[in-house]
Amino acid sequence: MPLPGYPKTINDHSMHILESGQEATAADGNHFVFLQTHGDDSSDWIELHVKMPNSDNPTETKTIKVTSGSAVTGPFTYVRHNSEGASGAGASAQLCWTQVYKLEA
Amino acid sequence: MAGFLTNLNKEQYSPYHHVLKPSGSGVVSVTMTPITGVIGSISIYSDSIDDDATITVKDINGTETAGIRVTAGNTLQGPFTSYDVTQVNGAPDISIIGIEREVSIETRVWQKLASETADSPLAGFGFIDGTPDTFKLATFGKFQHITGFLEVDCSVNSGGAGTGITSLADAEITSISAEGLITFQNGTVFANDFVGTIKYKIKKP
Repeated sequence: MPLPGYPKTINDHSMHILESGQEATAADGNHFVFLQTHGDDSSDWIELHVKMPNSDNPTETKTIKVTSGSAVTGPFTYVRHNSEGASGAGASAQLCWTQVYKLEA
Repeated sequence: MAGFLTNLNKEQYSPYHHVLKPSGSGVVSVTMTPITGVIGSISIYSDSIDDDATITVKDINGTETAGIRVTAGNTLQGPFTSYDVTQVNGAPDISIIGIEREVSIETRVWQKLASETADSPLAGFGFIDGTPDTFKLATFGKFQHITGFLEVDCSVNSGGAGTGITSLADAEITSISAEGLITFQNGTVFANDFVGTIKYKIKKP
């Protein structure tokens, strides 16, 4: 039996992929619902800059460092994949990405 | 008389982010007022998967489980009725994000007059001289002050912070506690006869 509620078209849900130094800003009144980070090593980290409209200070840019593979639940009005690095032995050049998801009206 | 002046607005948020970024370095003990409400989840983030946070939670029956250690990149799924962070391993890069399902926030304004210098309008309230100086706002019932927002807008102030808006992002204001106690940077940034308004937020229980 089909599951109800699954997005029916590609327009139900949009996604941006950010690399180091890239950012995404939601349109007025809109927001990103979710972000997911990725990398080629579990010791990689990504420094995210986000604005959380449903928080103590909605206009403040908050800095959150996350390990690759981590997801952060929104809402966000702004997401920047600011920088990336590696911790521990064997640290080397990083390859990390941040996926930012937005629900379409 | 100075004191509570007005409600600016009341807003409903669903969900609501509580972001805690402990200061210090390495293993740090954390002292905070427990976050209460209907908490959906608590996530730990850092720059190393070796970092962790120690969290105490209450389940929906009110049973407390102390000392759950959660490594970076992982999430403690609720629902919980409260949580408290007692220690982190990995400060200053560790962040703890609690997601509360629904929150009602009121923005309020407190008026400060020149004539009310210390312990005014009541003993233990208003400007309290000390090193550092502090300022106690009223708390009503079970309302909690939002610790991540505060603006002091001075029209007259002979202290180092001067006139205009000074916020939590500025060094002159160190913190505001959940009980409404503002701690200034030292004993000289705000004169006790400063004139202005204090904009703050409170969370309904």
